[in-house]
Amino acid sequence: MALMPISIVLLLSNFLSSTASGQMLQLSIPWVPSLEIEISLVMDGLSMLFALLISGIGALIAIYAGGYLADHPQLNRFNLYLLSFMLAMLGVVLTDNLITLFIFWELTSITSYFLIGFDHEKEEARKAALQALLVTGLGGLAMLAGLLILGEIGGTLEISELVANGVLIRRSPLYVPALLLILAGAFTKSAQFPFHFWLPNAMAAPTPASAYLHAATMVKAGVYLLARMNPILGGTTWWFALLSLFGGTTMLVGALVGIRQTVFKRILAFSTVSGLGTLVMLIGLGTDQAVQAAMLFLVAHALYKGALFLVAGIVDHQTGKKDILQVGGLAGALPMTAMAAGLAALSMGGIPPLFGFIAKEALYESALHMGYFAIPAVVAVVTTGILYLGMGLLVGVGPFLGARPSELGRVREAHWSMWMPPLVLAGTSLLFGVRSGLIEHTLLSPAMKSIVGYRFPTHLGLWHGFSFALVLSLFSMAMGVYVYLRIEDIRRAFRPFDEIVHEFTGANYDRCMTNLMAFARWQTDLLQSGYLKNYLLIIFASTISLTTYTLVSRAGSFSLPFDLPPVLHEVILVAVILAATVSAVFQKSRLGAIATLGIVGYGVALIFATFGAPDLAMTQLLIETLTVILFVLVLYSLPGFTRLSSKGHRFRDAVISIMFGALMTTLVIAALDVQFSPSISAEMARKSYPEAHGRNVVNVILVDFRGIDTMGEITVLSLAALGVFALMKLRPEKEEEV
Amino acid sequence: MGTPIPLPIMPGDLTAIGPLLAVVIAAAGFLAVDMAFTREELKNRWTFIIGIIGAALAAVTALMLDIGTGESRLILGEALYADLYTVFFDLLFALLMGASLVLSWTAVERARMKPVEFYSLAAFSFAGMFLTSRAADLLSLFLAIELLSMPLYVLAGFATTSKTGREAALKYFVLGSVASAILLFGIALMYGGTGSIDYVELGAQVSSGGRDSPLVLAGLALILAGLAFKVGAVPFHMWTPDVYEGSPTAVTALMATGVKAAGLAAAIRFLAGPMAAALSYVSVMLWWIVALSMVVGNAGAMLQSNVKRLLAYSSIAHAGYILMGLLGDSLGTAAAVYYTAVYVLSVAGAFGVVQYFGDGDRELETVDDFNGAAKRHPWISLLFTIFLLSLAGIPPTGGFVAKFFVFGSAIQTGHIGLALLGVLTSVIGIYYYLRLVIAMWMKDEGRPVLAELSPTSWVVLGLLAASVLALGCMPGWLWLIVQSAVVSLV
Amino acid sequence: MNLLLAIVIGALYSAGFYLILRRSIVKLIIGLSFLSHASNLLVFAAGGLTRGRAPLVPPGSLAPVPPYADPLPQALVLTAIVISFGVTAFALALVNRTYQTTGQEDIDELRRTEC
Repeated sequence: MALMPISIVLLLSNFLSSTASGQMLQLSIPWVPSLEIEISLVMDGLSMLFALLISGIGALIAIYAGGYLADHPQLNRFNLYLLSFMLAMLGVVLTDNLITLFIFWELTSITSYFLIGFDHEKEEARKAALQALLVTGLGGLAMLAGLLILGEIGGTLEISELVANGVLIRRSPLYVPALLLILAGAFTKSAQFPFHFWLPNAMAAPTPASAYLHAATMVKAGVYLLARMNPILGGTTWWFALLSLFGGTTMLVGALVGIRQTVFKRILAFSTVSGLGTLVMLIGLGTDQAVQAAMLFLVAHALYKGALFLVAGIVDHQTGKKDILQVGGLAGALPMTAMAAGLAALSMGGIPPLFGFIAKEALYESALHMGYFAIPAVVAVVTTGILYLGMGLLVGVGPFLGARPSELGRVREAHWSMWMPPLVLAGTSLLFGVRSGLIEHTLLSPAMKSIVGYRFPTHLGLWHGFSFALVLSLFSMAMGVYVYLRIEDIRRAFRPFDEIVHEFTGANYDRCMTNLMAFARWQTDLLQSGYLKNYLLIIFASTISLTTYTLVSRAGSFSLPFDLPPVLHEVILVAVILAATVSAVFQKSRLGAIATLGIVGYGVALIFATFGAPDLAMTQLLIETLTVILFVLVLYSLPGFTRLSSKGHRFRDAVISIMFGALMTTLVIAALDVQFSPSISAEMARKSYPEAHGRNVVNVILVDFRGIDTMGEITVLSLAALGVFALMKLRPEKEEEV
Repeated sequence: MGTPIPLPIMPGDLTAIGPLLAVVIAAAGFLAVDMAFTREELKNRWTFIIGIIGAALAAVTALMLDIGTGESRLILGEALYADLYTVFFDLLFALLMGASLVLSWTAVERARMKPVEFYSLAAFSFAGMFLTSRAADLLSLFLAIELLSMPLYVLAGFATTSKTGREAALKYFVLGSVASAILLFGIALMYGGTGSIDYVELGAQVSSGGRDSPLVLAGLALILAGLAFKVGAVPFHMWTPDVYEGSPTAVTALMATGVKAAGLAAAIRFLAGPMAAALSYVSVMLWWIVALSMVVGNAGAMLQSNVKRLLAYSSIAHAGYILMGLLGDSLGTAAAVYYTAVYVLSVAGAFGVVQYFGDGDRELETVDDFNGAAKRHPWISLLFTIFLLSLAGIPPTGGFVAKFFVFGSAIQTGHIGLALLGVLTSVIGIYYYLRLVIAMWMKDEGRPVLAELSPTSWVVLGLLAASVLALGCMPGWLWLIVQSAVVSLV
Repeated sequence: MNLLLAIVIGALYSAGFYLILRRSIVKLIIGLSFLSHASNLLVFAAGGLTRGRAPLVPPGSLAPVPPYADPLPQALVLTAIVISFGVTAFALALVNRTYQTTGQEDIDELRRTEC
């Protein structure tokens, strides 16, 4: 299983010398050529760093999962999800096209959904998986909109080409909307406050997945995106303000909430939230030192946090305990694990000679150089640094020292496939700490170049001489140990803080979901009452208002048509029709209603006859007679006219009906007012005799010029007849009694 | 009598209406089969054979049309069009007809309908669908819509025995007739305003100032309302949930795929063609239809536990997404066509799967009925998942690419707010489609029963799934076709 | 006369619409018939009214002598009349069948509540 990630690592290392020298390798495959969407791969320092982290840690996780889930019946399915996730993640960091970036981005959300929900018998796991997907999915889609706007103002969808248009983009009026939308994607994915709540809940995932997704890789996708976008969108006040504000807040909130947790994975989750905040803040600050610190912190964090998660998994696996308060004195039983845990914890706390120390020094250094903002920045990072050491000691040292609770029983060291990966990660922390030169020029400085656009000198090392940063370091180490020793008091003191954070975030999610459901119910109740009558009302009301709106907003005026003065018999005809219509409405007997309907029908036929349409009149007379007969026949088997509606409803319906009728009258008046030359009709009338040898133009139109329509008409009629027949005669074999 | 009489029907015209003739002949064939055989078994066999031949013939004759340089051709006394656009929809409808024959058979029999009766009526409805995409004037449009609706009124009505079914049939019929009346009304006003019902003539009039006439605008608004009803867009959507749920599933499948696609084919042709110049005048109206459809459809679907009702609500939302394309330029129109194709394929697949779940008389109704489906029937659950993911718009399926095209064109033409609303509502879509996926893959307690699938059903479902994936992974080729098809509209 | 015709059309629409909003299943179909009458008249009127002269080509000439009534709306109305007859017949059958199977004359009772 681990073979594939390992071979990817080897493959990547082939390109290491090129990226180290600052080259950018590209490969393009057309995908939707007409829209210039290409599957273009790009490999530069930044991509290389992320890709190596993803595949390298992926290999270790795959080994670990083999041990951790050895007894699980669906280990293969887990491996499949894990591999697909890894490929999607590699896609995110290797693509140069905004659209393919988004696709891979969403694929990581989907695959992580399956990984979080892997233990799907648990309701909690399903809920957490869905929450993570909805939050990151929403952010991702907002990001898509942002990326499309970015492509629109930048003139291309290729990231490498957008960099050249950076100035143009930052000056565009659409810059701020695009920035906000893209940040929505990055902040949800990288669990920035106030969207961070999904990450601690996502700890329902099996531990290997948590370690991989929620510490080392997926949550860093947002950070990657920001780093990638820095040369395009960065350097503005908006960028600086939003990133450092959100990042800084997240950094502090994560650390403050994390310190008072007692469940292994929750401590680690909140400290990850804090770490992600740190990274976002550093990218937002955007100075050379800050970017350097970001890259150092990125690597250090991936190494120690991955290791600690895996350690937490081992403790859970071997003892069945998930809470740090329930374990202690495990060093003897789990020696290898304890070693990995100790190293990782020290790296997290920033203790020399581990790599975490170098990262922390760089962090302090960059905070110190922030000019006006130096004081708040230093306070924030030092507080965080103190709490990191405290948390590191809580999960990495505490469980292995002290007295062993008697209820733990016999504990055996885990299989080598489980303790080896965290030990390798922790060991690498140590190695990079002592020998930072190993990655400085090959990985870190090419990555920094990708972010800022130029290369700047770096000096990594454990010893930087006596500086203010060193003083701060020493101070935070001392305070960190103090925090660890007084943890009981701290937990108590920070308790109210927890409530506030939850109120701001997770509770908002719940509230959103509840409100959404309430809204959905409200609108379906309103529109989907089930009453045919209401549907008709809504349809007519909408039609009327849409038409009226269109007319009022656009149309000119028209005059009343008096050009065709009525003659006496026409007036009588109209009066009869009107009288019949009104009486139909008030009829109490079925037969009476049918009679009035017949009168109206014959009246309409007479109108046709009066105005030059004898054919229509004949047809109408015939059809009307047939209709009346049909009505009389059928209505005898139907119930009589019953007045079912209440008075109020009748009044309401009457008002609406009259309004509707008035609108129709207005429209007809408008129609009659328009003078146009009936070109088509004239054409048909002219051609009627010479071409079709017909003297009746209406017939010619129906039979010759519009033969296909007449065929359609006949078909519709015969279908109706078929329907009538089917309804009367055919019965399904079993008639259900109602 | 010296001069020869020009025939209104040219020989070439017959190829151009080939698909139409193919289904009409198939319908006649069904009726003949019904009379010729007395044994059910023989009736069924021949119904199937004739149906498949009809669908295949429709597809082949559609492909035989000489498109020439891509210009639209008017045929049959200028009543119909023949161009790439009609070919595109012909193929889609032919595919749907084949899929309906293969996939709905079980559901037809389960609803105690005789396949020969069901399919002969359905064939007439398909004839109406083939007409919608080629209507070149408003009379043909009206007839096409009537022709496709009438058989469905009958189908929804005569097969049902339950009260729900009765209710559905009555509602569908009454509301459908009202919508037809509104459509006819709009046509009358349009004629009153321009003196023409011909698309070409209408287009010329509208772009030369005719759009300022109050009658043309009122007519356009009313025609839009009538078509919105067929398409199931808000505020003309209320029939969909009740009717989709109450009708026999085979009929519902036809409504969700064919009727919707035909309504869209007609709407797109009419709005992007002759009415293109007037579209900006009704864009506010269209904007609200789109926005409300997305919100109402998705929010409604969230609450549903009945699968057919859920799909009904979601189809309202999809109508909104598709119509959003019409607010954009020609790219948007192409996006709408692309989305229509993807939607139809995905829904045909989804309904295809739904129709197979169930036991004897009973079919699966609620989302919870699908609990544990993947454990017992992993392959069909996988296919169902692909269709659902496509409907939810998740890559790498066609649904995602379609949404991307539509949102992209909306953003390009400045409808950023609408695109964002689309994005927001899509997330709700993910939520409710995944409920089905969760039920199938993550819950174990249920024991859903699956009717036996014939090898042809597997092939058709597999093909549908493969095309949904292909449209997601390699959208380029279809996008090119769609773009050229849209060019012929203007 | 145009004005009078417009009022007739409006009245027919009002009556038809009022009737289809009733709960009685019988009134519903009568309302539909009123609506179809109204639509037919409307289409007819939309072409403009010409008193008396039908669009016929008199013997001996090649085209009808103007002014004659517009033939195209007439063709449209003819189609509409025939179709609406089919629709009405079907409506009667459907309503009849619905009443037979459900025994319900109140349309409001034909309703399922949401969810």
